[in-house]
Amino acid sequence: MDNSSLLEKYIQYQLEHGKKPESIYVFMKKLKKTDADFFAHFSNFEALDRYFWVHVFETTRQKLDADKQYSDFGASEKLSAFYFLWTQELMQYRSYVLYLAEKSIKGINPMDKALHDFRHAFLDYASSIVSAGIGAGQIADRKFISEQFKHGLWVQTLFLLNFWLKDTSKDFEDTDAAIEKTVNIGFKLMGENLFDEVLDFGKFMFQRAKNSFS
Amino acid sequence: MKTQERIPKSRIERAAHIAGAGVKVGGNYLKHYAKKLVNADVSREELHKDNAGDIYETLSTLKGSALKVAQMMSMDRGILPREYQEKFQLSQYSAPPLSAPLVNQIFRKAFGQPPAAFFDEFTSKAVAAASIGQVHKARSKDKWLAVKIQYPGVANSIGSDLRMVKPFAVRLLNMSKNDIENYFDEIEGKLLEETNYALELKRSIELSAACAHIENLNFPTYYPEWSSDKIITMDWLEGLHLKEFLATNPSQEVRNRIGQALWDFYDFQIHELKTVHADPHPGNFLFLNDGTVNIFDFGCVKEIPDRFYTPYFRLVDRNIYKDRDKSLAIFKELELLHDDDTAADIAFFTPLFREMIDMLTLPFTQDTFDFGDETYFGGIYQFADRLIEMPEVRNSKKARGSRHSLYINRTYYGLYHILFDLKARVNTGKRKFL
Repeated sequence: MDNSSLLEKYIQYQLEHGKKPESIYVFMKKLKKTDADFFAHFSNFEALDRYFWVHVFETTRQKLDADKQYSDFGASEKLSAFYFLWTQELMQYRSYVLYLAEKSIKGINPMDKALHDFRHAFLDYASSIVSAGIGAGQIADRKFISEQFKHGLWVQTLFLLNFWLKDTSKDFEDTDAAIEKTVNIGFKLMGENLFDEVLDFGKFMFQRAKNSFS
Repeated sequence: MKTQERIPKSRIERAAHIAGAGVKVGGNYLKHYAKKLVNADVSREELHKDNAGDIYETLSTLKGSALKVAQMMSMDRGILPREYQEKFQLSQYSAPPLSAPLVNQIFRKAFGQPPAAFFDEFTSKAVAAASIGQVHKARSKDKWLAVKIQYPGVANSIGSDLRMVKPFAVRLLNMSKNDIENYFDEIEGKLLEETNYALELKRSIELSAACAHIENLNFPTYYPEWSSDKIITMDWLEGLHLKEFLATNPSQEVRNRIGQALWDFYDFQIHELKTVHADPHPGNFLFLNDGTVNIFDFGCVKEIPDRFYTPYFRLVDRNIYKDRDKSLAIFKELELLHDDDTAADIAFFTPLFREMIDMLTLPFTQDTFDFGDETYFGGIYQFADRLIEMPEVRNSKKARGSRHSLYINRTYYGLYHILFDLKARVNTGKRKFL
């Protein structure tokens, strides 16, 4: 038994029972296996919860890396391609993700502990996208701020996830449209001077406030 | 071409855009009357020009059906003041492109693989824009193909787009809400059909086959195996758009031959098939210097019901006017006149309709017709301008004309317009109407 087949069984169990297994022992017994078989892969169910998101992410990454066209894409196209494939990969787990969203009061949200490992892996990936964008002049290189862009991309990822969950359009084509549009807007925000001007204006106001009080 | 900075997508955002134009149009009228107070010579032309510019600016930042409505308005030469049309015609050619990953995604959803898996070559960027999609050029072995891909989400946005263009239409056409409703139903139905590429493919194949015998027309082969409800693949067609074609100074003979082919194409569809390619805007044809035309894009097809066809074409027979009751009955059948019209209404509108019909059906009554005749087209425009100036017409809130006339008139306007630009002399062959 490997990580992914254990994950499959774990998902199956929850979808059938509407809850997590009582214990690792009960879960493994159902599979006619022992606890040791479980602990060889994961320390507890929470680790498996985290593994789910990482697994989908890594599968997406691997498929992208195997795609010749992907390496030729510019930064924004790479990111779009990622979101398209990622939502596609999630499709086979849609019932499970809906179940997860229902279980939690706030839906799938940034505070969710299960997203922790996925978030780290994604931020790494997002940094590579941002630096590729800076290299190609698509993204403006701004001290301190550029470092934060990847966090913006993470927020976008969760937005798209929740959009996809609520999407009722045929073939989920609204999700496709949302990906295309948010990526375009995101890159516009990271590329244009609006940000700098707002910052500049903020500094100006701050100086004035300081002067008038001194 | 000014590239669009972004596509307003949300309804509110689009509504804000439309409202923007409304406000500006209002402002232009104010400006106009202010100028007029000072200088009585300010022409309405100038006002129309200002309005057309602002409406165009606004509509051109929209996509999908708003663009399509702009296109429809631009087709109705003679109904809208001329200054609007030039501007609207531009809107047929530009829309921001889809990214390469999205194109891949649409392909993957339709066929399980990106385009690279099916074609030896595939342009990652669009080579042309269609009003609700874009066209890529592809090669399979030694064959060049045109692959048309629809923007995702277009069908869903049609309803809300039209609801927002409606107040505009009410203002421009000065019609009651109910009557506008009837017309918009027709437009909405047609637009929804246009988003159904599976239907378009079927119609393209059927109509191309039915019209294949007409001389000097070329139709592409369609490839159902590379087509879906969002994708249509056909042969790549060479040729020039009307404006570019005319710039090459084609001979009168070539222009006549093309004009004849187009006339025969429409004549055959309307009278024999009673199903017509109802989108004769110049972007849907490619002209060749050997005197042939490439025809594609059967997205907008109008099926003509008999209850409309029969009275509509009976009007071609000038003798019909001799019998006042008969001609009144036909006007009513065509919904040009209504049962609740007063005697004064009837007395006012009947001669107007007669004049209009006589003018528009003139080509049908002769063996050959010179569409290059500027006095003929000048007369149509003058008549339309006169119509706009008439307070009785402006203040009549009733729709005049059946919903079916919308696309049929549009088809003839479009056809006449192209033939006029071609300055073609056409054998119109005096068809026997009933």
